[in-house]
Amino acid sequence: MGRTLPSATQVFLQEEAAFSRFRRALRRSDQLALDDLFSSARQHLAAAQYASHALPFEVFLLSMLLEEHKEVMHLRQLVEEQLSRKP
Amino acid sequence: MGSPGPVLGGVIGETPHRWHLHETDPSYTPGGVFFLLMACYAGSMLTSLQSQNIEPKTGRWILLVGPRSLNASVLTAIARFGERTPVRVLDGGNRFNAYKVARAARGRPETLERITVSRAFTCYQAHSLLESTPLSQFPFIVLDLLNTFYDESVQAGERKRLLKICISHLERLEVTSGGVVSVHPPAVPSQTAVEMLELLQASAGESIFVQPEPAQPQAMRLF
Repeated sequence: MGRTLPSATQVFLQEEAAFSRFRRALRRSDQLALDDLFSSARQHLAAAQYASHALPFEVFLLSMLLEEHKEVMHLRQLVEEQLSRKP
Repeated sequence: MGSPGPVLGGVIGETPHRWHLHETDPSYTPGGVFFLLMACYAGSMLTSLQSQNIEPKTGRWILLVGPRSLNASVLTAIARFGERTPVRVLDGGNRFNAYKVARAARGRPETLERITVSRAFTCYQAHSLLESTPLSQFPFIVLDLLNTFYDESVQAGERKRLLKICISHLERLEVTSGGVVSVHPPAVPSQTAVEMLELLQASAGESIFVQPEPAQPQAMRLF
């Protein structure tokens, strides 16, 4: 008996491959940013698998957003620390 | 759509050597027998895109024969049916990809809730699946029906016997609702496969052969 559905990792790789032409058309600096987005989504594949969402790409997008927001929170904290140190 | 029965008989009678093509033969293609048959149906050939618009009608079931790439169109068609009416999907070849259907249905839960899926992984399971499917006014779609019947670990006679019973159940189901049965060519061409396709064609209200779409031209890589 095989799988009845592709795993989250398989879907992720398919989605990443589907955007290969888009990536190819981007500037090098944008390609690196896009790669960062996909690698941030890759960190949450286990959660995406557990979510069993009908549209996995939505979960991948949310994973990217999650990592972006973590980054924003981290930077906000640094700025607040810097501001609090000033007399 | 033409009446395929006599044409099919003619092809089988005239070109039996085609059944035994070997991989070393330059004209060999996997599933070549099916494609040979498909070539005789210029009048009833559709593209995958057109096959999305096939409408099941009560009192008959439609046989869709085509390459495996046809499956994507069938899944889209299932999502389209699901927008209007409940659909029963009987999956004989593990071809139902729920993610693709969900995407075609734009993720709408009310559409997805109308689609019920049952799977069979052996020809015996396919038989019991069809046997246990109750009569309903809603259309049914059978994906890759012959896939489990290509299994050579079951004797050919037994497979044909089971297929005949399955066909009788399809005829039972078509009384109250229309249906679509998709069939893909086997990985290894065989006479049994052709005979089973013949059996299906003889019972189907309509047979549609879908030609493989030509490959998209690829841009050459610069580096």
